[in-house]
Amino acid sequence: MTEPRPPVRFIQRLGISRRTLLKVAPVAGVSAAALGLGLVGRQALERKRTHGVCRFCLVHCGVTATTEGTRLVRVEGDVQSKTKGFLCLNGHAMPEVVHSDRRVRMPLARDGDTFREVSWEEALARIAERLEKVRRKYGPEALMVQTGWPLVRHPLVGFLHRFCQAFGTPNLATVGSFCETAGRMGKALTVGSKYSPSFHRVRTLVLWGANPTHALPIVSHLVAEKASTGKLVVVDPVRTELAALATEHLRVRPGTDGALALAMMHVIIGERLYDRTFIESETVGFEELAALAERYPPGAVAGLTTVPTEQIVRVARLLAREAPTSVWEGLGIEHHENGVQTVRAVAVLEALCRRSGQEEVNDLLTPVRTGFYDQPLPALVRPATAEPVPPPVTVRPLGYGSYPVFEIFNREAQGNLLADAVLRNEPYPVRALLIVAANTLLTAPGSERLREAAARLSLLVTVDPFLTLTARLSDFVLPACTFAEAPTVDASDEEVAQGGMVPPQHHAWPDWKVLFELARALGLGRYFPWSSFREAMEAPRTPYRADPDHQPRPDPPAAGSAPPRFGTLSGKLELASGLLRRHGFDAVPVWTPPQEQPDAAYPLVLVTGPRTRSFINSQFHDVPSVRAKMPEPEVLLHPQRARAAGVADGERVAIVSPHGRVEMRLRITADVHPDAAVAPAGWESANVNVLHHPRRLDPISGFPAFRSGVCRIERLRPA
Amino acid sequence: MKRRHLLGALGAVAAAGVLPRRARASATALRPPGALPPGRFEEACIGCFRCAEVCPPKAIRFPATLSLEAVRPFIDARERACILCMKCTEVCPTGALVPVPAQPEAVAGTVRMGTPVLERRNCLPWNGRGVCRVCFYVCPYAGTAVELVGPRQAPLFHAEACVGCGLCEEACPDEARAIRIHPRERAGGAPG
Repeated sequence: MTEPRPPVRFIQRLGISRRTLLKVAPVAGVSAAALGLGLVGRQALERKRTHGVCRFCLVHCGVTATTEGTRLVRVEGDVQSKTKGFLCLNGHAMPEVVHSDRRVRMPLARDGDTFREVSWEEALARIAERLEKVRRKYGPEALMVQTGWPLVRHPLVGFLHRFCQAFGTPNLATVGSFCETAGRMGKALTVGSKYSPSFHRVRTLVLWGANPTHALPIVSHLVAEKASTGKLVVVDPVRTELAALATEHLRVRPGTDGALALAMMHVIIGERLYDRTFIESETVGFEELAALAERYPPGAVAGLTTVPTEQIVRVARLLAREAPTSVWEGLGIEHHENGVQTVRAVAVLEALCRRSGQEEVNDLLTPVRTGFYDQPLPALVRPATAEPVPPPVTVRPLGYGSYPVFEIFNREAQGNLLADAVLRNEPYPVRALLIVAANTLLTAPGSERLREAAARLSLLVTVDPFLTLTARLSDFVLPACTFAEAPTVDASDEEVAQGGMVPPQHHAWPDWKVLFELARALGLGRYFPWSSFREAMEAPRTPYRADPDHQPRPDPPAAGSAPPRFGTLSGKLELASGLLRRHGFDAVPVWTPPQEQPDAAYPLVLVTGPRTRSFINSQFHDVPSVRAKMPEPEVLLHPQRARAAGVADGERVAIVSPHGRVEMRLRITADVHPDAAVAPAGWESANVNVLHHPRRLDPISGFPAFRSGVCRIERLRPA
Repeated sequence: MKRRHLLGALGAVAAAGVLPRRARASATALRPPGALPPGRFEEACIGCFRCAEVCPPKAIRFPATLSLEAVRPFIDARERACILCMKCTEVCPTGALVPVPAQPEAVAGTVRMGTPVLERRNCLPWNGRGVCRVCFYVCPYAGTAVELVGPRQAPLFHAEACVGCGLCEEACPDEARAIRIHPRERAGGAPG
């Protein structure tokens, strides 16, 4: 089936016709009368309060839900939980999401330009049959499963891996293909694990390309507090709410953060502000790093980054002197072609500010354990699953060869290579795509190519509560419950409660049930013997999917030396990374300029995708109260640039890049860097991902360069 | 009886099922957005229910009464607040609700449903019992109508920038109930 799918024009419900309605009219009349009587004497429904966890994002705020019968009427923060009553607007809109009239009610099967409602049995049987066909023709690895952010840390991801292995495909990709994992890799390559600052132990806190007010609002008071009780340094092209409070705000030109970090290292190394004892005893590669930093004097970097020389010097001294210093880095520095190396540069800069014997100021830093040397590095995922373990898969996932460091750290496929596998059969054909709670065609890089790829697929199945852009292009849409309707999983992902906050709506199933039943329809039921998610979670687990050849082990320690502190190859903090060197990359955090540089035709650096207060990426766009706060996307532009382009505040403008064009409203603000245009992502009406080069990815992680494109702003109608 | 009539009658029965729930306007009830000033609004409104019909969150309600006199719409923000979609002002046939374009700037410039009053004793960040901040996150004018101040990032309301939609009052947790939107009582002046 290779002819392209026509756009969906109709949804045919399994419903009643006018004729059947008339047939049942007499009965209906009587019951309507009874209902009328009932309404007269109607009492208010009993209100019940249950405790639950909000799983719209990774914070997992504790919530108290108020239900009336089977309706969720109110959700508020639970003061008794670890999040102390915090709730953002997305969490507060939970009842609207659960009871939205936009929900998919029954499984939908495509029939030309129509979606027909079908029963679960029929949908699963038909999907299984077509998956079998794909498996027979192209092999099991031709199935890719992708999952999105709602599930990335959800325990269900483990079962998705299990499903893939049972089917025989290595290709499970999560949103980790373009979110957060570059940061995890950059830090782990340096100190051996991901970490985050422990706010109360840090004296100087640096927010680098992060805006917790919008992205992680629960901690914004802890960050804000640093401005008065310590030092707060913000590195961001936009003057964010926290930047306005900060001790120093470095308004860096997007994409030059690595150079800025190197210039600060230049100052710290040149003025000997680092602790020599710490550097000599706990780190490797200092000479190499010093030679690199030598090439980045602040005077030269100032022009590049547009941060004044004096400020670079001043902040570098502040970071080194006002220790302990820690950096909170965000996606702002990951979404570049030099993303991992930029994170490395920032982590190394932080390392230069450390003192020997200093109290650990970061959480989640590598735990040193016995048997450390027999194990793979601490930052690596150690998959485990319940018995019976499905037979191992010998085929390698997408990205295994081209982005080996990504695979080593994340043990999953690099989803950004999907279009290549579909359109060019590289490294092998992928012909079926199962999307669980993701909107890949809108959020992943290279939207146009993905759309082309979707048309070439033999089978596209989406599991989602809503009819997303991706769902509308699918062959089958399976309605999943929201987490509020599924059994509550506690914030630490361990305990599963008996029930959810409200019963499942319409004919939706919890995602685990969809997955288990699909496995059963495929004849893989022996690997999914559980009748509930709780039972599945409580089953004891054994390690699987080991890949000893690909997993680096630390060097054995010299006889009589102290146990290592860092989970790196050398056991030390790696200013020069051994693993990167092994895979042919620069060991020290070099800065490479983005390949696309502004010129006369495209004078602005294009930054897309910073989180806005409303929405989480492509989610919540159909939720009225969330949408009301940001009815349409807005591109931020500096007044100077707006004048040059001849556009006015509030006007609709076109953002034009060498790769595409979208239209949105213009917001003129002096808070944004004069060289940058900043636009939000996740809008179907204005998908900014088409503005970026579809295949220009970070060579280490495969991350897209969403924060360093180029563009110009055009008036829609010439005056 | 014709088939058409039967279908119509069935439709009417179905519609009766979704009528607004038994409700009583209290002293703290708000008028819908874009309403004429108190006094003139009551004169202009004919109680046609259209605003309540189009209201997406069903925030606009009517008092339940069997009298034949016209009843006026009200919003109990604590129960369900206005999301400022301005659909009600589009459908109002008498101009009791003055049409306002659903753009944040236009709404901020004209709509004044009430003024926010914060009881700091009850507010979780102010009294130190929690980190809540939900009022800031649900506010359509966060940063201007309410800002987060101090190391605890506690809310501070600015009545002059507030349109009085009541989303903060609705969202304020039951354990606190610290926010109350006081309806505009002043007669005369511009619509709000």
